Amino acid sequence: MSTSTTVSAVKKQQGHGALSKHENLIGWAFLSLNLAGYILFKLIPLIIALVLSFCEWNFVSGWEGIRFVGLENYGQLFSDEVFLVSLRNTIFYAIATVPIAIFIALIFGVILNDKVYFKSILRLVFYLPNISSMVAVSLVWMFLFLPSYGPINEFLQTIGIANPPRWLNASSTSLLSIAIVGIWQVLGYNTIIILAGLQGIPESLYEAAEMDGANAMWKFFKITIPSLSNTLFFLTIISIIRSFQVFTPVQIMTEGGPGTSSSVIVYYIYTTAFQYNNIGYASSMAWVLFLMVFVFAAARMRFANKGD
Amino acid sequence: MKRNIVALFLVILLIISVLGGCSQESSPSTSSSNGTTNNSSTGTSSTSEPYKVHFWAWTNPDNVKPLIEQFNKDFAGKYELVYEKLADAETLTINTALASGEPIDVMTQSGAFDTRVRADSGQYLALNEFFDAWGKSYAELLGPAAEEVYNFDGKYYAVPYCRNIQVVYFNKKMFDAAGVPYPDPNWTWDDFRETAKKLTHGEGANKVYGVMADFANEYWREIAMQKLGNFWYYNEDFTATRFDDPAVKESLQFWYDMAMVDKTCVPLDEYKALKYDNDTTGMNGLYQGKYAMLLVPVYGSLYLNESYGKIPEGTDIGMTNMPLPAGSSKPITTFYTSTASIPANVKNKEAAWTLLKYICFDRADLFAGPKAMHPGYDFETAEERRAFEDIIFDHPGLDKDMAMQVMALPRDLVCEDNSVIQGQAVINELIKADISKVFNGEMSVDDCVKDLKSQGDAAIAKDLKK
Repeated sequence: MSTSTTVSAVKKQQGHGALSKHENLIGWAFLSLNLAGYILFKLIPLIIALVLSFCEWNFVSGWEGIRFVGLENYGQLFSDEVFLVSLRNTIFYAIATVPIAIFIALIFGVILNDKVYFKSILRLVFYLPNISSMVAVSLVWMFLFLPSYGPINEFLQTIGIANPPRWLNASSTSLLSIAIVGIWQVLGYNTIIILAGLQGIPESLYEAAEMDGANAMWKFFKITIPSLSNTLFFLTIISIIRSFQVFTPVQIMTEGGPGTSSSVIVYYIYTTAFQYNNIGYASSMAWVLFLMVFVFAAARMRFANKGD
Repeated sequence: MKRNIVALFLVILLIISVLGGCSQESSPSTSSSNGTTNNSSTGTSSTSEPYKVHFWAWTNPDNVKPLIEQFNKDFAGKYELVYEKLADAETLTINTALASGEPIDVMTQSGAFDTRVRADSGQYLALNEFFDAWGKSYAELLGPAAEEVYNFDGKYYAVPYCRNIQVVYFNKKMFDAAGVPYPDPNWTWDDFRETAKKLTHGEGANKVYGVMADFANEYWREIAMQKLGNFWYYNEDFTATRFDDPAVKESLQFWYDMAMVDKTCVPLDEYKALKYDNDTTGMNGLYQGKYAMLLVPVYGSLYLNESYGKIPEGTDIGMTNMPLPAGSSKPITTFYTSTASIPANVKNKEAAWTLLKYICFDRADLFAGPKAMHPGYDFETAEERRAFEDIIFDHPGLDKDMAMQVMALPRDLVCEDNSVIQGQAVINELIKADISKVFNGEMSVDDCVKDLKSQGDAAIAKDLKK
């Protein structure tokens, strides 16, 4: 390589470096709005909550009212019966809603993906609960669940069930009732996601299977389900995260009762922080919840990276 | 090039937004509820502009208009009232407003626990100096019951601007149809129970109940409050609970029998599902004949006004006292209050006190009156009472004479507000949890009071140890 060629190559490389730096700057500029929002409204509050979780504080007393208590709040969590019940209920809610909501959505997705009449209208109908106000929806469900003369129990009585459940008004069924509403609400979203996944499966796979004499069940279990594995994993993780954050139906329909039978973590955090001003203790609960959510979020990211 | 311009624009936009947001606090501009922008609202103005006194409450702005107009007229050239509407009276709403840095001269609130927390945190100004300068005693003005609750170690940080006195409204036509005489103002709880039985009939969705009351949250403790007085669940030195007092069991057992045995009051599930906790819905159910008696504070009659829905032709609502425990010689009435306070960092103390005194004492008829609430103070003369109650009970469909006669009877007052800190947060949650179980048939009355006693005592001991 001659000296002149080397100099020209170096100059070209320098030019690329300057261009790359320039492009980086433009990239950061485009990101800046979102980044500033993230730092201001998510990262900083998260760090403040972490600091507060080691303190005793009610926010009307101002910053000067903060008192450092070390790990006391975290220690208290595991002897706090209401927190433990709320934690158990949150996990139960996730276990009850996530698989059922995905399973039903899978069935609906497969049906809607096939040749059915009024497909578009049905998709809209399924999706409507997801965009409805949870407050309004909860009020309607409260009436549907009414033990004495609510439509659900009236129906159950007409089919011969003499003592139908008391739904929201019994400790044994209150959380289950909230889970039913949760499943109903999330069904449309899950169905749309599954439909998108179904439409990405090549038709040729089914045609080949048909030529080999495969029946509908075989195609479902050997082609549809494996091809949807990424979609189903995504839905599972997102649904678990959402279910850990359940609040509105609990607040509107039961206020955590009867007793503490339907109390969940977010509801307990809310009452502790904003009704009784115990921000430090509520922050420690919020961090436990954050870690639970983080585990699943990290799993999803790891899986997504593997997929790439 | 285009990309460069867009990127540059975004960065500039970001900087402007951040700087704009940060400079909000230093800007003296605030937006008032009537949509106007008020400048130079804080500090003593060096010009001849009247000082703007900021009043924060959750009352509908239309109902405050007469108060604003009269205040601005009475203090023309000196003060100008600026009304700031709070979304509601929730703890979070008020705490957020107090922490916001907005100019606040007078803040209203409900809930003595929150008031105590705010006062203990140094948020509020002690008002003793103003009462002393005025030459009036807090206890003489506001009565011993409220004085006991709002005396925080000798200091007063809040002044009740209303008394929400508990009463029973009843549908006279339903009484007439059932041939049941109207209740005597000195009736007992046993009379009340028997009356409810006579007025209950029907089944399922068509069932008509004798009574509608928020018994699971409020009224289950009514007899206990009447018998035990202020701070009903604390012992005398506030070191333990008295849930083991027979009055507590009697009180809970009474409502358990009404709801679960007689089934003469709207059950808990229907109460929640049909939103009877909403004041408008509650009164609507009474005049529509869903139930014959409604237990609410006096202000319940406000919802007979046409602005809350048209009432049927011929609506005739009567009012009587809350029933008495057997053996009581004169009515014992419970009430709760909402209060007004002055933030500790207020710029102009004199202006703030002038406004507080105006809404609580001087012209309570313009603030509590239009909301159908009694003022926080005791009336000095019968004429004064009549004039005020003439406002409170002036609603279509209400037997005003009957209401005024009942309210004119002598009575002992018990304040429902609870300003004791130790154990209260845990005990209130515990009560909510256990009582909901009792009225869902999952816990016996005996087990409930036992649990309240043991866990309540533990909560107080834990807080006192701190």
